Amino acid sequence: MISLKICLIGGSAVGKTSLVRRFVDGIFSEKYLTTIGVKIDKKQIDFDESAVQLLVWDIEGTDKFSGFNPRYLNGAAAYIVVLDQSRPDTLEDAISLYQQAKVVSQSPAYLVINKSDLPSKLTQIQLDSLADFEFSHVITTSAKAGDNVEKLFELIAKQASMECEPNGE
Amino acid sequence: MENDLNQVLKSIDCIAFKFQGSGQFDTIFNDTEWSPKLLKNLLAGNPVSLYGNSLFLDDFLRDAEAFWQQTASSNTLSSGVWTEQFDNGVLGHFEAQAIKADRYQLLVIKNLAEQFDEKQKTLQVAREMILANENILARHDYAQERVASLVSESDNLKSILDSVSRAVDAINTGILIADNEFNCLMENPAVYNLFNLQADKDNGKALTIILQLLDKQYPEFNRIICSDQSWQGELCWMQPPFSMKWLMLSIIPVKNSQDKLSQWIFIATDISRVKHLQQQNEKLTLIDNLTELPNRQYFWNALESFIARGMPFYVLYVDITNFKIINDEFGHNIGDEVLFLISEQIKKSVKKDDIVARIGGDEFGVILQGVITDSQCKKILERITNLTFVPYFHQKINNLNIALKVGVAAYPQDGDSVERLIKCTSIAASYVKDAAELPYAFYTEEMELESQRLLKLKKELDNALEYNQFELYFQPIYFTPDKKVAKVEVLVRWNHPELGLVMPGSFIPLAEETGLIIPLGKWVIEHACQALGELNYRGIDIGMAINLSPRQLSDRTLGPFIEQTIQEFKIDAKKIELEVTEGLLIYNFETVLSQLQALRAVGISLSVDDFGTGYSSLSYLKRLPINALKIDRSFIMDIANDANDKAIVSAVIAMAHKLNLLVVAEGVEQQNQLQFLADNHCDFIQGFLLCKPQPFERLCLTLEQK
Repeated sequence: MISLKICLIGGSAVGKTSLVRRFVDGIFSEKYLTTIGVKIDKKQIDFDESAVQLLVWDIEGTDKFSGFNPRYLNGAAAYIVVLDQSRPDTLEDAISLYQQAKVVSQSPAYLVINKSDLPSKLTQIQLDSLADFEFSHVITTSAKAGDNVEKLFELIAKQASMECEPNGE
Repeated sequence: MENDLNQVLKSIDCIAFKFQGSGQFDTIFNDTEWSPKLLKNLLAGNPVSLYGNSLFLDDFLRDAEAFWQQTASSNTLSSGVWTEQFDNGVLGHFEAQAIKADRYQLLVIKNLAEQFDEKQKTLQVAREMILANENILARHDYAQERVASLVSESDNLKSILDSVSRAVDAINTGILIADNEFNCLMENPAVYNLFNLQADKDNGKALTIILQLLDKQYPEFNRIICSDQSWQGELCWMQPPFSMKWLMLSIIPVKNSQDKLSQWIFIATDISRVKHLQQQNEKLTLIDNLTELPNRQYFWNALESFIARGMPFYVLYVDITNFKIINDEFGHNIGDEVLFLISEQIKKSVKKDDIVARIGGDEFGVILQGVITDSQCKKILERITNLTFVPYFHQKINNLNIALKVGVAAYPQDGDSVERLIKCTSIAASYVKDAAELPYAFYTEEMELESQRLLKLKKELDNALEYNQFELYFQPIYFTPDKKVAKVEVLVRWNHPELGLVMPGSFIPLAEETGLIIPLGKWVIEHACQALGELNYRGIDIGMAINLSPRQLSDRTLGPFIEQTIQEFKIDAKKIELEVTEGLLIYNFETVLSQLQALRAVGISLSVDDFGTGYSSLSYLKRLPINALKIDRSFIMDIANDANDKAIVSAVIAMAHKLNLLVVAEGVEQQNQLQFLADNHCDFIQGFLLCKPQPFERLCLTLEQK
């Protein structure tokens, strides 16, 4: 079975840990508990004829207290940049992180616009500006409602496992 | 020795291994309660493989092996903190380090159980505080934006209050409207909740509390508010036996259609939760988040301590010029960057044990200890005000002439209380702000008297238009070759009941500050057009030059007003020339350009006044729809004797002609100045040598005689 390292990066309190908890355990907690450092969770995704094990790296949010550590992206099959649509400034953080990540990683980047259960404060101009960046996908999710969370990881697993398939006859 | 080392490693809760190559390690020390849980697949003996125990550690070991191969300068590679979930569900927190020590490559894994909890607690509070702060700011800003947009759309204050209150009702933001004398007109129910008041019994009490708090906690508030500017700050309110409450307060001036102050809107939000979170982390309580400098509260306490010691010291109040423009034009991120750079500059300019604090949005406070004379203080002020980063910063911002203006007060001679010292620095800062050439000023009693005089004058100026105290004077502008009158410049004077004739230099800046310039400017345009109509009627065919202030150009009704006035007095738009200063070109160029183009489209001519004293950008000149340049009088003054002024004036004339612009020289007072200008083909001349400014009737006589 293929194991794929997937990293979640983004500003603090955008919901990275909640996405992981929703995906791995199917639960959501309203209480905000800040992540320190890194925690890795595993989950197997079964496709029709194969299975993929995702090693999901939940990385501490980047802010004035904690910088971005590019080393964490080493060997990642893909990485997810998360932002919170109810806090427009987190988009700027996400783009800045993506630009730093792109320097060290050639892996596909997924942009997740989280907290779709809350009113969006992103402007159309901000949303349009996302087209300027080379995200593999831009997906809107809600860790609270569970919207698109499973779909996100399945999509990543499918695309990343295809990349990993051996070439040749 | 080995035993000692083991004791050390045990006491700091570490395990250690020596790398032997190819993923193999020799154990140095592995005797802890937690290591069997972390390294559950570790075999006995040496060498051992550490792979296969932890996903995170496996990842780090690959990086570590690469690191040990490198000849990089760093001797240590850290994994950062990671969390491991053991089989029993318990979480462990660790950090690994790859170390290069002489011939050895070591791996040390440290258990962070204790430090993790501490760090988690601190960051939890800090991040919750940031979130709470963001949330409060967002709703406070929302209320402010709603008020601003509703005020511009409606004259009905009641409807504004109702509408904004409804919008912010759920978020408990107090809104209060007061008249221009700070009498409460109306307030929303949230105001009563904020101040523990009763709606039916305590009308207007909240405003009294707010004003008392402002008076006590912001001695500079009166000065700021006198210039009709909006203000934002934090207030601490204590009401025994209730606990302390922190409020974020915004005060916004509302102006009527005459651009005169009519009301004040107060928006208050309870930020006690943020303060409470800050207080859980001592460092955050007294530190400004952006600059990481001490905040106003810290500064206040520090001043009190310095006063209690009784030793002489200096207090500085540092203000940034044009900062609002930076925020408005370039956004808050650039604004924050500028604030940060300035805070660094100030810190570098003072001793380590001096106090530098951010005491307002774009204001810093400094306490210089051990400085006992003005001359010692001046040396430090020179360092602070010399903004070395500016030439290397954002090009557009460099053009804004950012500068630091510093007001200085000395303890004990200027004051012996915190309130008095802050007030003195604020008065000195206000004085220096108005003096373009001065970067700093020391407080003097004369300054305070002057400040009081200006305040009085400002109040009187507010009524001057109503009492018909303004009068127009006209100064002819002549064709240089034949000395015939080509046009007249309109100049305004104030017939003050006690002071007599007040010149524009003394009251136009005040009118700019208070916004009176908008109605006054319209009054000037209207009366100038009327005068031109009268001259036409008398058969005198000349043009009229009217000064326009930068603030007038921001008035969207200006263009239609001029057009309508021209039609009303049946005058030819081509006979009107508007004089704008270079100052208005330094920002918002595109808006200014479209305003000027609209005025040109009506047929009006435009000229740049005081050329050479301000921005003087040739690239902007090329793009502006102007017809003429007026060389500033300061260049004309010494033109007969000063070789530099001669060179500048002849170059400006030549350049203007190349750009198809006409040139006017103002301030011509001597025959040799006139001769030089004529020799250099200056198109027009204006000055006392030919004619002084005169009232309308005398102008008519002068022109009729000619």
